[in-house]
Amino acid sequence: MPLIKLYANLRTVTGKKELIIPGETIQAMLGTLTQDYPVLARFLFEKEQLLPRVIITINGQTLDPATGLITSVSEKDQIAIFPPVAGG
Amino acid sequence: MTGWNEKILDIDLTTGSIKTYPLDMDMARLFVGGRGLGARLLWDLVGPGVEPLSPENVLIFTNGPLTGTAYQTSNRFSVSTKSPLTGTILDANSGGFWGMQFKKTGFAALIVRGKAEKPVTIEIKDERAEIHPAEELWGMRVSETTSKLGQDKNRRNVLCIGPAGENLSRIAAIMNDGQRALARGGPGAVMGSKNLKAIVVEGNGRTEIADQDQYKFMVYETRKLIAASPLTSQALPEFGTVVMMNLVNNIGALATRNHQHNMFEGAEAISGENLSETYLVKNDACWACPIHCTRISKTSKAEGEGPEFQTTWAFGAQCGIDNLEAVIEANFLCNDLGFDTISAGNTIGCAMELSEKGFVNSDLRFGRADLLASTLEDMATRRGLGADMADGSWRLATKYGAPQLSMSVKALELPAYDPRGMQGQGLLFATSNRGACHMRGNMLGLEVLGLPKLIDRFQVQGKSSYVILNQNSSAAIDSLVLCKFTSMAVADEYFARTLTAVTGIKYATGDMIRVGERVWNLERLYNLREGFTSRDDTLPARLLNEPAPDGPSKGWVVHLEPMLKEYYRARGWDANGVPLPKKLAELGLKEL
Repeated sequence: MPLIKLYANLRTVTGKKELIIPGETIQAMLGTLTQDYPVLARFLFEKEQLLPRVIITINGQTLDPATGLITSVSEKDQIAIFPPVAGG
Repeated sequence: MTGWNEKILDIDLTTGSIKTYPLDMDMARLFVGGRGLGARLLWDLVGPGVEPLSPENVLIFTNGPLTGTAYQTSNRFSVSTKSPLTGTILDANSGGFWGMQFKKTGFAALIVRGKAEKPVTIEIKDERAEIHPAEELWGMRVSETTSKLGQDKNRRNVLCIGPAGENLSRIAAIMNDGQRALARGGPGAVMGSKNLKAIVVEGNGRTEIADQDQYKFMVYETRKLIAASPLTSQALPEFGTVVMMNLVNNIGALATRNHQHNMFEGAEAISGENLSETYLVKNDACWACPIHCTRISKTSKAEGEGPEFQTTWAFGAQCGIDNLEAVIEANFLCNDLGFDTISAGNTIGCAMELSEKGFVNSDLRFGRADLLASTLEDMATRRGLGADMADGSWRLATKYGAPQLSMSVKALELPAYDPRGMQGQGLLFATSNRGACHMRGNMLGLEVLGLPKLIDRFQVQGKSSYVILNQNSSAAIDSLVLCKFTSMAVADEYFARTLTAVTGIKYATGDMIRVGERVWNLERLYNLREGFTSRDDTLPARLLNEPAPDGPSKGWVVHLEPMLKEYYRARGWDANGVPLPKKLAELGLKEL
């Protein structure tokens, strides 16, 4: 199953750096993830839409949040999820 | 006139003369303050061919009409000079308290010329300035100097140089109340060349505001926007800027081991998340800043401000070091010696590669965290190889026969982003007027964060217009002089409306971008007058010719040439990067 890595305050609220989550698409994985950790929904979604500037990458390639949630994932994929972050 | 202090303080350290005269208000309206005003004054004061470390160079400290008004992040100020590192026009700005205090002394700008016979300090109390002998301070480190001069959080504030500036290191910073810096391009060396150890300010003045009700409304609105944005209300306060480490590494754009790689296996160990769990004591803020991105860290040996992302990267990934404690202590030491941390870390990374490849004979190797402190001490006092490293990576690598190993543009060391994974960032670094810099605009927002929208980071065609907008916007914010983090939550329109409320002069959003464009073009003219050409708008050969070896950016080089052609055209410049008369007329720069 694909590996999901969490960053910044997503770690703080779940107490996890990484998780193995089943799912064939990013959307399915996020569904399972927020079911297991309901608090994450507040950090990732608003009115069931992914919050702007939440960054999801598959093997380091950034997903366009507007269209990319139905992207398929395979067992070997590494998914990283960053809440809105900023820096210089 | 409201907003601006309408006086310039002009001190000649050679003769000891102290003069004040009116600020040219037409100039102020066009260039606003900070970086813009400094650039315009420098154009007249330091002509072509002036050696940056000679008495003929000047230091120009500027504030802006918003400075000290308590508008969010209105704490910043700027220094302009000709850079001893790059030979280009230079400005560097800094937050904290000094800028606000300087504004309260009643001056819009302080010009320092000449060279004192012996070490001195300048003390400005309200509208009175004095030059004091300071031989007993020469040789002292920054923390001790700052303390001796009576720094008192928001009542008395101190700019000074440390041993690096005294010893004319071309990567020396001017330190601001001990732990902040006017860092890039070597302004500390210019101060050292004038035998000027410190500038102390105390003031009681208030900035007059044209429309108090509208100003208060803008402060209220801005507070709401900053509180509503997860970037300024959560990400920056909770993790500081170093939260970028894991993200930039994840996409394969974290320069590593002097840009030989673009991903660092030790990124997690030096990340913002790990800093928060280990050495972070609390967060802190500059004057009038609700964001609180400053980190206060503590190791077994010391406690202080920082580290920021760029510093952590420079001593971390760029040197192949994953020892966060050593990185934090290198940051503290840089502050005390008075170094630009980005250039210092980069120069050590360059020396490590030079050593590993046999160009120099030293123990420096990637990963040698144990050598960071002693190397910095050697650089500040110009001992051994440190004597060459004190002048930055380009002079170091050139002297030892391998200039291609200096990761710099126009001799200013690159920041953390490997542009092979961010094409627009490559164009931005190549065309930056003070050399490679992420504060002259930054494509991180568009190419990685989706701020305000996400564009393909590998795309080449069409990037120039984004880069230009970014550069102009950053020059406008630097001229206001506000913190760029504010703009992550607040649209440029708000800055224009606030400037209008404070000064009583109507500025529209487009006017602010036009200010930025005017400043950018003036800086370009300055560099052309110094003999720079389009050949200097380039990147280290490694980034143009050696494909990125790792991860999601693997195989990419920076495709600079097509972006650069497009950039010159979109700027209204000719094919050699020279602004066309039509563009200069449009910007009110025709007479220059």
